[in-house]
Amino acid sequence: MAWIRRRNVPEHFEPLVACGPLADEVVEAVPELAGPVENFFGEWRDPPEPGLVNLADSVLFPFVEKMVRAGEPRALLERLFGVLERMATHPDAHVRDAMQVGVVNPLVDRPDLFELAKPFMGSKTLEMARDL
Amino acid sequence: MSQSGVQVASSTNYATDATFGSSPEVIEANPLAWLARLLPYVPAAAALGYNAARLRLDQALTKPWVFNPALQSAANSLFRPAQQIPGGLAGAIRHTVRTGELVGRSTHVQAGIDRFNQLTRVLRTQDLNALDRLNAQVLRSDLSGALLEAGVKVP
Repeated sequence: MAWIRRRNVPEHFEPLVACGPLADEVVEAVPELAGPVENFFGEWRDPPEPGLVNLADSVLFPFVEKMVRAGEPRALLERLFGVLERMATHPDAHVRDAMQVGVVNPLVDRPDLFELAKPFMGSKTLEMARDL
Repeated sequence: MSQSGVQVASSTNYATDATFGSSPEVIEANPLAWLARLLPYVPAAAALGYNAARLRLDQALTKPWVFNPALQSAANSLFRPAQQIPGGLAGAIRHTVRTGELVGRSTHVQAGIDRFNQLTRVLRTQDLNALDRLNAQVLRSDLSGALLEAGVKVP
């Protein structure tokens, strides 16, 4: 299978949207995520740079799943889904893309979790989920 | 010898020996033991060969059979159970490029870049077996083809 290695595959691609400012926005709204976000960036020291989907995979979605399943206080869930709604309505299509693939798709793939999360989801996030 | 005079299974009876397939002495004595050890890898190798052939023919890949949990997680993210377009994430990107239609409202380009970098990271940081390494390379190659087709610039 040496021909696979001979194909002109780049070492990495640069993310189209910087992950850092959005991570700051998330931490500002949900300070409980400060530790996991810091750990995430600590683990991704080497290039390639992490992208929003990677942040969603490693930090956002696991947190959403844990909090929703635990039935955490309504206020925390509302803050959390408020940030997700802002990402779902972000003017940059790449942010919306990352939000859909990193958070909405895995939610929809787990129907029981999706049902639990529905009451907290904003209208655009819900619309994204229903389109899938 | 048993009481009835019939010889019972000895330690070299491979059909009944509990160490079949694991003891080096038994493997040396019976080459079939090697094949038994390789059996779990056969479906994975077949799936890899299928995907490699499809990659070469520029056809949609299917979800690979992998062993490493980090690579499994990346593969699960690339190939969702409810995917609308064959070929997983790369298939969705190509569909948008070739038809102009969005898949689930998204171009999936940012997701493709992030998943590609995730695979690069898995290759760098995980101790993958040969099959997993090849599977990761096939997936990266397919995804990079789709991203280049979508006009993403190589840094």
